[in-house]
Amino acid sequence: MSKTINLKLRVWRQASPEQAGKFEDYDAKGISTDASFLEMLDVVNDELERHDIDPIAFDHDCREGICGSCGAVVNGCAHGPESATTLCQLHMRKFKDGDVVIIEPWRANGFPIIKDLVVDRGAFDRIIQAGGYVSIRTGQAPDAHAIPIPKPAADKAMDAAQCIGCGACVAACPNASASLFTAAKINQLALLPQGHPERNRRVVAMVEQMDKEGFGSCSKHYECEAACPKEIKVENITAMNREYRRALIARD
Amino acid sequence: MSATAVLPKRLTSTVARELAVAISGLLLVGFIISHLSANLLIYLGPEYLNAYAENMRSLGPLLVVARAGLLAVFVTHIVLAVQLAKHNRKARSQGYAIETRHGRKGAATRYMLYSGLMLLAFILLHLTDFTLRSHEGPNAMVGGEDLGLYGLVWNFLGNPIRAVFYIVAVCSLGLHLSHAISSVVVTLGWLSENGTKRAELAARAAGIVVALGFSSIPIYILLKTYVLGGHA
Repeated sequence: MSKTINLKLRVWRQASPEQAGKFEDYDAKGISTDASFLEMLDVVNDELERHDIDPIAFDHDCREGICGSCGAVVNGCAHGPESATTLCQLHMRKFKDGDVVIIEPWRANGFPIIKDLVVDRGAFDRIIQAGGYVSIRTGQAPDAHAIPIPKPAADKAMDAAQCIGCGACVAACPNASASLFTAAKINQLALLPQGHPERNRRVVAMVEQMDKEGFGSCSKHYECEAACPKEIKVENITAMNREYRRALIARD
Repeated sequence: MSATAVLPKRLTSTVARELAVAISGLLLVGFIISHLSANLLIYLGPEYLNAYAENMRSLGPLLVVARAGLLAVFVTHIVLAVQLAKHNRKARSQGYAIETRHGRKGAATRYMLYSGLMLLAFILLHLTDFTLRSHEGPNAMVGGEDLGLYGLVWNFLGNPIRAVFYIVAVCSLGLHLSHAISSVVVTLGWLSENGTKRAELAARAAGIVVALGFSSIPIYILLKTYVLGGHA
């Protein structure tokens, strides 16, 4: 049977990108332990609206852990205290009655805050636009089995392709580095024959865009791997570095 | 225009700079291994250590080239690492209310910059102590006998304050290496996930061996001077 708990929330409120933000305290009363974290925020927002207070803005879409829209830093953990979980899949049974819960947006200069917990992750789109694709200029898509792909390579490519682009890696990284995201997007293609023709140009262009967006570099703290809801491995960053080294000596 | 603006873009990206820090770091690891092996000659006695130093000096112009190369590697490593650290700090201007860590890396990783800066301060003192100072004369006298470089080392590391600073410095070297060696295999794109985990263990072991190897010398000298008496 579900029970209810009361929490003290301390939430980052920022009306617009230009205005300075600050923490505000709210009570979350009578929260079902079966509720998700976002449902808890919905309940709190209902209460705020009843008192004519601007509800807490947060990103969300599928609420089933696959779209990458949601995310906030809860008590210092990106996506909250449970590992391999998006914020929408975090349940209130992970909290105790009377807990103080500090909720902050992803903090990185590459992710400017739009409002409250909502950040602009356009930087990720621009990194993909720089080279995170395979160009096919003619004909139809070939049959899936027409190109032989070794099973281990296919497995690793699928693991890298699990990335939902939520930005938790950047949020958790002490350097606010986007290396894990960029590496996963490079590696999912570099591992497959379809990705090979453009591999050198791709890694250079995507890394250049990553730098341009103001993200830091990777100094191997492994915080990204611990925060990633899809358990993307630092091994992808190793592979990105290998791709980059290869591109440095390539002629194209 | 900055000095790096003339280089092609692919050589100035953060990934390329991390790569340069890793390669220069690996060269420095090579230097540390040769330096430690040479230092351990002290246990064989004055003639061995002094003969080694004499052999080095007799290289003449080759020694000048080797030193210039070593200096270039050091400068590359330090300048790029500090530059990247500044770049990384700038990537998050507003920090979190609570900072927590969940990754599997520990203090060696967090304090990389500080252990590095500690080493820089130590190296400057170390150079003025042993490289730039005359290996003969009053500083090299032990028991009324001029023992050359051996005597100089004996007198300087026999000073407890210097010895403690030396030990702290080589421990920060051990800490630095215990992250560096596990990090380098990622930066150079060398190993799989399991290989990297093994490299992390190897890095820790290497850090401990280097710290113990270097600290054994001042401990030995202090023991000889204050407890056992005499020198080798």
